[in-house]
Amino acid sequence: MKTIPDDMDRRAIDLLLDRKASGQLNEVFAVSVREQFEKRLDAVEQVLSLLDQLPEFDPPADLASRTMARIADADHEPRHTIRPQFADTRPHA
Amino acid sequence: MNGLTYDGNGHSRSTASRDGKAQAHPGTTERRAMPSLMPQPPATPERTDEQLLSAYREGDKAAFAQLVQRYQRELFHFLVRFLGDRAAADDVFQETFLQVHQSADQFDPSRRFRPWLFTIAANKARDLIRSQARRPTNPLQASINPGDDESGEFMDLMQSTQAFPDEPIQREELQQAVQRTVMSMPEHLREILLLSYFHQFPYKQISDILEIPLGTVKSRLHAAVAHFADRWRTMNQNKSAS
Repeated sequence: MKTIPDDMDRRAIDLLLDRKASGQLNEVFAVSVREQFEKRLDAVEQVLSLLDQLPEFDPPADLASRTMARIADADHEPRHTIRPQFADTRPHA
Repeated sequence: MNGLTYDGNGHSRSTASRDGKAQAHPGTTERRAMPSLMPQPPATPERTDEQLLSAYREGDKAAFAQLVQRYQRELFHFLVRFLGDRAAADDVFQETFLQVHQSADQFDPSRRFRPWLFTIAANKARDLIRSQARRPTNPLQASINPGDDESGEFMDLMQSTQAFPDEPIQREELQQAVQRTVMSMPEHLREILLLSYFHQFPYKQISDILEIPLGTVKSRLHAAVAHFADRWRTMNQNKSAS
């Protein structure tokens, strides 16, 4: 069995993740349920904040130059022409 | 967070978290106020991604190098987090820009470059994962207790102290635990969570990048957050039980 986000959880996720949804809190909920929703929002934010713990992975210093070199190499590679499986060397009738 | 996030169009946009806490995201450009005693000449505006690609199509090779430079950090971050392997990320990064180079003429200049770039990168990364999955050993996939069937309410789960142990965890250990949790997620959930959280693509752009309907973006993201939280709880339960 999996955890299934309910409607409030889903709204909280959307509010936090979808930039265009930001600032819609007042429009979405009436005051009576807003406090409850704030708790959901905090809970989802707490879960998402764990992702900030993912280690940083800086690219190798020469990644860009190697990428450009690879593109240059690809341009200089001879184009492979697709040959028919049986070369047309047979004499024509 | 009150950061400035690169919007892929040569500009930065400000983002703010609910708690106002500063957060650095990959691709984030920090602007610092420079003291100035003299009037500064207006800075030359940077060319947008789309302008750089157009220039490249017209023969400006330096423009392409600038694009590679501009995205090397953000794209590499995405790839290494998605693939869980630096060497694979390095390779896919190069493959992605090779594809951009080869397809530059097909790019629709009325569209944004950044989502297009991530579409290519995500496709290449997925191809690699699938090719690895066909091999007997799969270094790009990690599995944490795949047989676990613990269940719970989403709210309980997220507010559970088990999800955030009171005991101080060494930073490195915590980083590794989060990384293992992310890598244990199904590829399609991991991918969308990374695109949304770290790269801050709006849902509409994620829909374009992954070529899925907007409704699927939402449901997949909801599932991704729930899955991540489930896995995190499972890991911590196992940890405290051992």
